[in-house]
Amino acid sequence: MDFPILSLLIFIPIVGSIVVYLLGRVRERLCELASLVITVVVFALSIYMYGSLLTSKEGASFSFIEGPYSWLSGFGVDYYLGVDGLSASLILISSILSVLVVLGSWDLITEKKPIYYFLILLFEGSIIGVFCSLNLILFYVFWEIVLIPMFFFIGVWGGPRRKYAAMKFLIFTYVGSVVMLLGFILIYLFTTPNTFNIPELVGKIPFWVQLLASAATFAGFGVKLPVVPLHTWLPDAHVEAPAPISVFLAGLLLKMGGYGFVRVNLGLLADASRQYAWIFIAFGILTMFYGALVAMVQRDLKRMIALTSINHMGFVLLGSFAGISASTTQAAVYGISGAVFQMFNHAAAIGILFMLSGYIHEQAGTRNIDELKGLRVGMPKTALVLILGSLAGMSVPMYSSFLSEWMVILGAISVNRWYALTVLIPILTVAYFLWMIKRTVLSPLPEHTHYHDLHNRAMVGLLLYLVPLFLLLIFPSLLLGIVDPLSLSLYQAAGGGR
Amino acid sequence: MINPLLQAVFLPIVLSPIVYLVGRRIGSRVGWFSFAILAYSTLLLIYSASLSPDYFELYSWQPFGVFGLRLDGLSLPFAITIYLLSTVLAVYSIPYMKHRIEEEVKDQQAANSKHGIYHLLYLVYAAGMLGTVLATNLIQFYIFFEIMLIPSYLLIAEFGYGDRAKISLMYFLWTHVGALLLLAGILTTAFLSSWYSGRALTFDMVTLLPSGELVKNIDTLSIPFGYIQAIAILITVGLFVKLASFGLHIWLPYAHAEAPTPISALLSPAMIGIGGYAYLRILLYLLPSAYEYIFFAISIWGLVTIIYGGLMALMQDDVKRLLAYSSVSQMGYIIFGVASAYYIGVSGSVLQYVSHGTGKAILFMTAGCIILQAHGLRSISKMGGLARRLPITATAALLGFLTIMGIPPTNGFQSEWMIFYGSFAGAIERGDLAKLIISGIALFATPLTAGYSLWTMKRIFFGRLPENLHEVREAPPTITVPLLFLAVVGLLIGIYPTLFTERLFPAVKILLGG
Amino acid sequence: MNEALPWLVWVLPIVGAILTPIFARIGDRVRDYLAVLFSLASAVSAALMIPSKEVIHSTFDWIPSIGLKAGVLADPLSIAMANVVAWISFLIMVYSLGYMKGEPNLTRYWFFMNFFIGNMQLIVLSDNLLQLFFGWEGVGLCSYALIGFWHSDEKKYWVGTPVEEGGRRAWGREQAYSPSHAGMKAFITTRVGDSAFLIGLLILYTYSHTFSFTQLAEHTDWASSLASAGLLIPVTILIFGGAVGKSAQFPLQEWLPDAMAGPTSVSALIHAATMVKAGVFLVARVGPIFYNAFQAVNAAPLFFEVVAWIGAFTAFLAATQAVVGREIKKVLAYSTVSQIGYMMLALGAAGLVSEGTAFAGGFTAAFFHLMSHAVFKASLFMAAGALIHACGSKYLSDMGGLRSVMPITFISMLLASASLAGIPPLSGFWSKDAVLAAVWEASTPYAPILFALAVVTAMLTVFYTFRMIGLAFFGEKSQYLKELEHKHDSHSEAEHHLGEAPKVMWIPYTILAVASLAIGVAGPFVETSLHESLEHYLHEFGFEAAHKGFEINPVALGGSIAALAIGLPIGYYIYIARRADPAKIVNSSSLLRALYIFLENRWYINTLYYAIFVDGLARFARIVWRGLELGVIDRWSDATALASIVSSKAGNWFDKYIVDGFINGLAYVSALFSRVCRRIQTGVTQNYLLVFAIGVVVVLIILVLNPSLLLR
Repeated sequence: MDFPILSLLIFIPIVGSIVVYLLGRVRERLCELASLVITVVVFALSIYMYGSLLTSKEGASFSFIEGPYSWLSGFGVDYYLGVDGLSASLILISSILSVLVVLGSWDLITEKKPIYYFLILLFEGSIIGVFCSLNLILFYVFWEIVLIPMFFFIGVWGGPRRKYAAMKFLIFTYVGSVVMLLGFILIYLFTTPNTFNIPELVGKIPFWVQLLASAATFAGFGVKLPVVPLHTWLPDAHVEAPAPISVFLAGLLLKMGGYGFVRVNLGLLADASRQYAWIFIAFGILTMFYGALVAMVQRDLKRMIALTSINHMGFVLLGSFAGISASTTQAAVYGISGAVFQMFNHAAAIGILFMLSGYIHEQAGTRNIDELKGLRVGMPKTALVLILGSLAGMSVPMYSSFLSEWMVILGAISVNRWYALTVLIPILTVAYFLWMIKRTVLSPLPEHTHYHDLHNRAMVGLLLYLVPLFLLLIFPSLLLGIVDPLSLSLYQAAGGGR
Repeated sequence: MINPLLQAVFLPIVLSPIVYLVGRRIGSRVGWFSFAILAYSTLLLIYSASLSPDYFELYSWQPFGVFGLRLDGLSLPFAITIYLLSTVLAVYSIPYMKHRIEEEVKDQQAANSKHGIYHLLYLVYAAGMLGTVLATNLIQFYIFFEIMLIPSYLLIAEFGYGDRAKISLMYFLWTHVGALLLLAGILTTAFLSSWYSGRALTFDMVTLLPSGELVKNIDTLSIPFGYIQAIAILITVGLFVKLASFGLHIWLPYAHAEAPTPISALLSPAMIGIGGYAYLRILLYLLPSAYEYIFFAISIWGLVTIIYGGLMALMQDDVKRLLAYSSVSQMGYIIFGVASAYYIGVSGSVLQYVSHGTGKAILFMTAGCIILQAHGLRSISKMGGLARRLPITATAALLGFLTIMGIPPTNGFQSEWMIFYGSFAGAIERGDLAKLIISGIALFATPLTAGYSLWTMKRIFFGRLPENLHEVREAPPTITVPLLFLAVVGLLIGIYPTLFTERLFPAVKILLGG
Repeated sequence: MNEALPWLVWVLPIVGAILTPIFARIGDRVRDYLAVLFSLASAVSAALMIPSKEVIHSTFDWIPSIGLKAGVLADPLSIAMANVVAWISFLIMVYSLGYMKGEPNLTRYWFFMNFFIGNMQLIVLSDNLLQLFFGWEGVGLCSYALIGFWHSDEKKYWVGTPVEEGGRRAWGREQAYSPSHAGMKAFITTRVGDSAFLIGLLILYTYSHTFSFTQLAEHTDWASSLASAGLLIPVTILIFGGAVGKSAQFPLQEWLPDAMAGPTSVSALIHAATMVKAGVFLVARVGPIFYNAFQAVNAAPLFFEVVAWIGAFTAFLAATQAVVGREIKKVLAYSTVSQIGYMMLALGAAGLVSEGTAFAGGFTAAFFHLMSHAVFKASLFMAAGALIHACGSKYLSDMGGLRSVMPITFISMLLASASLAGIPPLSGFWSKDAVLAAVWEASTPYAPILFALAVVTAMLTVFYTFRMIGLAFFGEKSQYLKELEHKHDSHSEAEHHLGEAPKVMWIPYTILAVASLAIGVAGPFVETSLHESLEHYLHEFGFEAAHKGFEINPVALGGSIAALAIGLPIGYYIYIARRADPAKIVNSSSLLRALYIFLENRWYINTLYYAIFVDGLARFARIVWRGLELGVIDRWSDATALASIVSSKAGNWFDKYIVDGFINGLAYVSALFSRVCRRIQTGVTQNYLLVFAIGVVVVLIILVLNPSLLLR
């Protein structure tokens, strides 16, 4: 594979971002269109990449490898890219969401457009970098670059308390990532050969290092995922961030945490993860219940959705670690693939919800569930989309999100029968979503309130989020075809199944 | 014809958006489209039943196994009933929903699109029910089990009466929680069976032998009894919510009373009974030992449900609530038959599903007819003497009541005697005196059904005609023809049950382990 | 051809019923006459079965997967019964042409009449219990629909005496019922019996694995297995429960008197001649089978004991009530119940004989009485209908002195009543005599008591029969009639003209009255031939034929003569000669009066049932509704919702004040931190980059500490 597709995936947006900015200075409409073009190109590329991976069933091992080209020679910092099932699926969803976000932003973002789209593309490029870099330092670099656009998104385009939210966000993620960096350095120092290259590190790291590193990475990834009690930055960030950014935030940024857990903890620190899986699992379950419970009483629609995504990401943690510590291969595959699958679905499901909350806020002037009344009559299209989206959020089996959740639960059961109790989670989720719908959609329309309904383009843009969910329900092998081999190899590499 | 079952299940779903778009143009008349679609699908069902007594289509659905659609002796009665009712009610919906929507929406355009939405949901709902009974894979089963729940929830929430917001929510939550308990049961079963039998984890209930026949694929024999008990309880409770058995029934009177009548006429006869089907397919088939463990308990539960539902029906003044409670009682019969542990009894409860399907559908449709013709009148105490104004409706209603009372020659009798014969036989086979006595009590409770049925008949159709009902006219043929059609079907099956039993009995025998 | 006949007998009327609505489209006359025609066709095909010597038995697979067959069985018993049913129903159909003239909704009437005939013949001719049950419920349905024919419940159609017409309350409950109520009552009461029947036959089936009569008769091994399970007696009695319900025997007799709310033609057909006999027929069908079963396990035939006792007691109970009946139809209804009691008694007695040869005796007696009763009671009812039509009142007290006005009706009614009272040489005399004889010959210690009961009942029968005749035809015209005539004179067309009934009405009941006379004259011959054919039939069941000729049992004869000797004079003295005022006699002593009220209120059984089963049930239901359904179950969902919300509120509080509190502390620190940085004129990003640099420095330091890394 001489044609450096991954680099293109990373640098087309990053380079493009500058172009877009300059165009934006000329005419704002231009930068909107340009960024759409770019994201679409990236999307096409990622589809190609994903497709060839899917057809060649190369989910387990890295393909499209570029490098390692030495970068800071001597420090083991190489430019080293590659994708396997995990990265490929996350890259795919990133490119999809970028397109949709750009579309959505056309309506919702009105000021400082050039710099906004500049940051959007920067974000896309860097997060794709995170997902496909095979060198820990490179990974870290991209990881940190991602923070910059996100920080400005919240701080500049955010709501009234944006300063506080942005700062809170930055502190948390930043502290987390620094601790994570220390973990990486530990790994580097005390493994032979001293290297940051993931493929070379597999299975070489001494156990005690693994323990320390796990602790460190838990901070880094845990904040991003987020794990209760490190989650508290997230609701504020979401509430303040503009809707499209919330989509990025929940849809992609959180996935960095999940990705990290799978890639590093499961891939490199496997023994420690197997040994102490129960700690992570406990945190996962705590996160799930906590998110669900707290979401129920929220008055702010967006905050509720934010907490939903916490609840959903708990599944990722639970699934991956239940999988790695599972006793049967089958269960392991269900757990890990379930986790990855869940990341993918959650990105799409939460995307539509946040986008919608943005539209509702724009059209009804409020996001307060108690003040939103009679949407059924007032804005029927919005109501319809809201119901469809909520169904995705409560992962009823109209969508693949259902599949991923039960896969995770199944994997968990195999570790300990009592984890079957997590089947209560969907109940809670359904409860608060339906309650929300009852209060907003099905309530009578107050006197002389007038809403503007969604216009069709926006509606289509929203419904597009649901397409992958439908598809994957019917043809789950589209995703699991490349994820399952990966989970299997992870599991076996971790010494399971013998 | 290529894979008729796949068409039968997915055609309505695929075409539903088109129906919506058509509906936006032509309003209520779009019902004829959904009628055509469903009629065609029904024919497909009959056609595939004619192909072989155990007709199935298997499609690869990795990694969850095989996406199978199976029309065997057990699923045939359910499948046919579901689509027959859906087809008939599609016609019935045309005048009814026209009236219902005009009550709320004056603007023509908005009304049209509401018709579109109604029929969109309606088609998906019907297809979901069919998919549930045809599924051969546990996950697939659960997916359809929920797909039939969601549209019905939306239908109640969007077109229902009364405090529909609260009630639809209640409906969704109760049944969804039940479904999740079922899911937990299913997952645990699948997992434990692979765990203890050492075979790969699978969700396919059946697998295809080279000889071309389907055999049980999940081996639960090696699961320790402790887990079996837990699973049995999980699945039973989960499904009994759907079956609205005593204590878990409270959602039903609300949902069925406040749903738009065509939907009540699908909910009550077609949907809740599917719980019974699931009980047979999953518990009896996969976990015979669990069944052995629990059948006595559920036979008592069924008995209580029979009597309780009947008593509550006596107390109702709202005709639709009354029918809802009578459905509770009828579900009690289904449970009772399922618990008979004898193949004729179990087949009896399958036929009970069919007969309750026709009978209760007729009754809800007559209730709807009265609501339609008497301007939303639902309180029985305000009715009377309507037989003179609505002769056809009254005749149909009488037939419907006879069906649920189990009076020959309606098919209600066939199911009734089979259920009770089965439970007697099962009891005697086991030398179980208690079961024998229970069966006796249950049979002696049948006059209760006769009691509330005939009393309702008297209060609605006989006696003095109130002043304000003098101008009531008989309903249009789009309502009366479906009524009579169902009545005829019921009588046909009642006189010649072999239509179903010929394949049902062997299937159930296999279910109960020969 | 023979094969087809039995099918035709019951299918034809049903076809007719189904076609009725279509004929109605052509025209009302067409509909009416064709309906009658169909009943005639069925009657003819029934008659055509008589010559066939061998038993006609044709079947086809019904539910093959459990080996269930549908079929018809035309043996002497069913052929005889079929003909009785067919011809009487034909006559009644003809009668209806006149009686129902000008009624609206006749389509419904004809439909159910024909449907009834079909189902009744289905009962008679079916060769297995399950199919019989089909007909069984079918006739129940028709009876329900026809009792409630005037379902608009105008007061004039009510049965019983409403309070405003001087009716009496029993325990504060009015003793008058609307047609729709009566129909419902009939259906539900019989349904109780049917449930018992169903239980019985299902348990029987689990052991015998067949519903077919012939197979049940052939191998009686099921009997032993049933007996060993201790279920033989319960099952047989449960099956008898069905008969008790349909034939209105104690304790389920209460529906029949109120069934009189239906049109008189219906009462004649369903509630006198045919349907109520279905119970008797059922017992006759299964009697021999059960007898053999009991013989096979040589158990005491408790079944027949029960039958006999219930029959005897019911006969007595109903007769006493008939004595005080106010409405002519109700008197007849009570008498029907009582006469059916006789038949049951006879059947019971048949089973109680010492050796099988004598079984035929009681069996014949019962069937003979069934036939003759069908004939004269149908005639009586139709005549009573004519009376009611003429007077426009159902009360005996509103009649009187009608013999001059309606001579034909008078004659035929006199004949029929004489037959009912058992006056020789009418049919009723012979049949009742046979019954008494059978009872006397029964080899049970209680035989004398049963016999005594029967004789007392006979006496009462004579009395109330002549009371009825007397009140209706003798004495002065009642005040009511006088007014009616006066009205009639004043303006020509009143709705009821006092005079003889039209031909189409009086011909049928006259025919039957004469028939009852004819049977009576040929009584001994009829009885013997019937006895022979039935013996021949029983021979199939392995009963030895005794071939005893006709003889008269002196004791029985003495009994019936005595009954006549006591009943007739009293009846004549009070009601025909009108020498004494019954009201005076009753009021003369408080005891008599109390007895009178007691009887008029049907021994308070009816009231008791209402108190327990109607009010009791309703009250219970209300308690459960208030207490359990609304009180507990209905609250569950709300409670759970509340609980979850509360818990999540708690979680939220924790989130706000504990977690966030801690975090806000941090945020404060960070804000401080950033302010510090800002002082060095750096934006947040710079300070962030700075820290990034620091991180890198840390790396370098470590590298320095570990120089081995540099040796690459």
